[in-house]
Amino acid sequence: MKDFTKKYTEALEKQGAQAGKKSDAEVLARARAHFAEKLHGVDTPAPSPWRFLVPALSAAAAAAVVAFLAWPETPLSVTVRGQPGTTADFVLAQAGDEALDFSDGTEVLLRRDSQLRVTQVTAHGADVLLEKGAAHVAVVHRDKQTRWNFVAGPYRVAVVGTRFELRWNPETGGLEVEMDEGIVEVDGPGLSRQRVTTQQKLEAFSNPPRASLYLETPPALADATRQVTPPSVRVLPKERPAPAAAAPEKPRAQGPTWRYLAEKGDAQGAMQAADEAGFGWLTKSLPKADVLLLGDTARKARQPAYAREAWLQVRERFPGTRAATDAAIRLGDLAANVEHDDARAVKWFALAVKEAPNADTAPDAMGRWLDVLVRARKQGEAKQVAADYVKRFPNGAKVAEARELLQ
Amino acid sequence: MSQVSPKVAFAGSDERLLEALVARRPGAWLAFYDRFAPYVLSVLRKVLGADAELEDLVQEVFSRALEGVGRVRHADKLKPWLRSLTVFTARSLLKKRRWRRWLPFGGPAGGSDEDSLENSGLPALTTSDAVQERLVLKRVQVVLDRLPVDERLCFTLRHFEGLELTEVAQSVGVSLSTAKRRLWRAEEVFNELVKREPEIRGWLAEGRSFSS
Repeated sequence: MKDFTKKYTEALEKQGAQAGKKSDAEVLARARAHFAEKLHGVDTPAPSPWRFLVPALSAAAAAAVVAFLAWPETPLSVTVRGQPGTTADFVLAQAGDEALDFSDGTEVLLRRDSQLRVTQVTAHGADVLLEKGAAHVAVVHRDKQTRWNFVAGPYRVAVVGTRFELRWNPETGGLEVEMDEGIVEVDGPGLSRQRVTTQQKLEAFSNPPRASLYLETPPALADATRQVTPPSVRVLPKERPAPAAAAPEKPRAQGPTWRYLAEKGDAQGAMQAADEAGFGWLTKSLPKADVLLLGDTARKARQPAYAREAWLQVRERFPGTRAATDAAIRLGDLAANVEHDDARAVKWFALAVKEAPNADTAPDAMGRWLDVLVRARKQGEAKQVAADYVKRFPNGAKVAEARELLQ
Repeated sequence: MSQVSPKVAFAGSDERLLEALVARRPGAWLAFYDRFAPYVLSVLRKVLGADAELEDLVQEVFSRALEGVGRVRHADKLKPWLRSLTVFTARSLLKKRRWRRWLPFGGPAGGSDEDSLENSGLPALTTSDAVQERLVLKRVQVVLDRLPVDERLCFTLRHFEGLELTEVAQSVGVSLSTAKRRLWRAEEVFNELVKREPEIRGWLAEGRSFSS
C-alpha cells in the first residue's frame, strides 16, 4: 500500500512536469503574479494601536522596530530561469531565449542573440539596460511605488505595470516598443514622455531623431489619439502601410506583427510572423481573444494543426469562459469541414451546447451539431437533437430543417 | 552566459513572518506565499489530482488567507491553518462540480477537457493516454470522483498526503471519531471500486488493500 502511495504521488508530480502541462514553477509563478495584484492596498502598514502610548517604551524596542522597518527596503531578487538560487546582473542569450524571474512575479524574456544588464534592483522595481536585441517584458504592478525602467541606447522606457516587447538595435539606433497591454512612457531623441498604450507600437530612430506610432486600433480611435500626440510622432491607422518599413535604417529584426498582418487579411504573412515570434509561446501567453484570432488566422492560412493547437490552448487556459465555448465550436467546425471527422465534430458541438446551454452560441452550436448528424446519416441521434432544438429554439435558424426531420 | 549572485529571500522564522503579516508589512505576504505556496500546491494535487484549476486554487487559498490571518495566534498553527484553508478550498470546488453534474446542462464535471470528454464518453484528445502511468492516474481520479467529497478528503489526506488521523480531522474540521468513520467508509468503497480497475490493481501488491 505504501508502495502504491509512493508510486502514485510520484506519478502525479511527474505528470505536472510533463510537456504540455504547466510545471509547478509556472503554476506557482502565475498564481503569485495574480496574488501580487490582489495585494494592492493590503500590505500597507495598519495604524498601530500603540501609537498613543508613551513614545519611549525602551531603547531596545525602538531598535527592534527600526530593524523591522528595514524589511520593506529588501530589494527584489532576480534569477535566470533554470538556474535556481541565482540572480542575473548581465545576461547574454546565445543559444536561445533566457528568462529572468524577479521575486515580485515580473518576468523578462530575453530573446536569442540579445544582451542586457540589470543595473539596479530596488524593493519596488529595477533598472534594466537592454544593450542589444529584444526582450519581452511582463511587469507586475504591486503598488503605487512600483517603478521599472528599461534603458536602450539614448531611450528610457518607464513602466508601471504592463506587458510589452522591447527591441533595440545599436547599429541603426532603432528602438521598437510593442505593447501587449498597459502603458509605458518613452523618453529619448525626439520623444518626451511619449505614451505608448495597449496594442500600439512605437518605432523610433535616434539619428536623425524621428518616431512613428502605429495604432492597431479602429480608425475612429486613431483619430482621437492623433489630437493628443506630439508633432514629432506620426499616428498611423492600421490600414495604412507603415512608412517606416521603407526607411533604410529600419532594423532587420523588425517587421509587422502577426496581429497587424492578420487584421490586414494577410493570413500567410501573419502565420510566418507568429512562427518567428514563437507560435507555441504566443498561444500560451496572449489574451484569450488574441489566441482565438491566432487560431482563426491559422485556419485561414490552411494550417489546421496550428489552428487546433491555438483553440485547444484557449480551452486549457480559460476553462468555463465564453472563449472556451467559442473554441469548442471552432474545433467542431474544423473537425467537420477540414478533418472530415464527423464523430469528433459531434462531440465538440455537443460539448459547446452542454457548457453554455443558455448562451447565444447555443443555437449555432446545436444547428451545426444537427448538420453533422444528418450528413453522417445518424437518423436516430439527429431526430433527438432536432426535437431538442425545436423545443429550445422555436425561432432558431434551423428550426424548419429540424421540424422537417421530425416528420 | 550570466554572472550570478545568491537569491535574496526572507529567511526569518514563522513567528517573524506571522508578526509581519498581522502588521501588514509590505512584502510580507509575498514572502508568506513563497514559503508556503509549494506546500499548498502539493496538498491540492494530492486531493484533486492533476487538475486544470490548480493555479486558480492556489491563488484562491492565499486570497482567503488574506482575510483570516488575524485569527492565527501562534506561528506553529500557521501551516495547519493554511492546510485547512486549502482543504476547504478544494472541498468547495469538488462540491460545486458534483452539484453541476446534477444539472441537466451543467458544465463539465472534471478539471480538464480531456477528463470531461472521457467522463462523457467522448474521445480523448491525444494519444499519449496509452502510457500506463497516466492510465492509473486517470483511473484513480475516476474512483476518487465516485467517493463522497468529505470521505474523499479524509482518504487523500491520510493516504496520499500522509497526515496523522488527528491532522486529518483538524484539516477537515471534524472530530477525530468522525474523521475515522469517514476514512473507514472511504477505504471500504475505494477498495471495492479498485477491484474493477485492473490498472490500479497492477500497482497494488497482490491481495493488499487500503486501510488505516
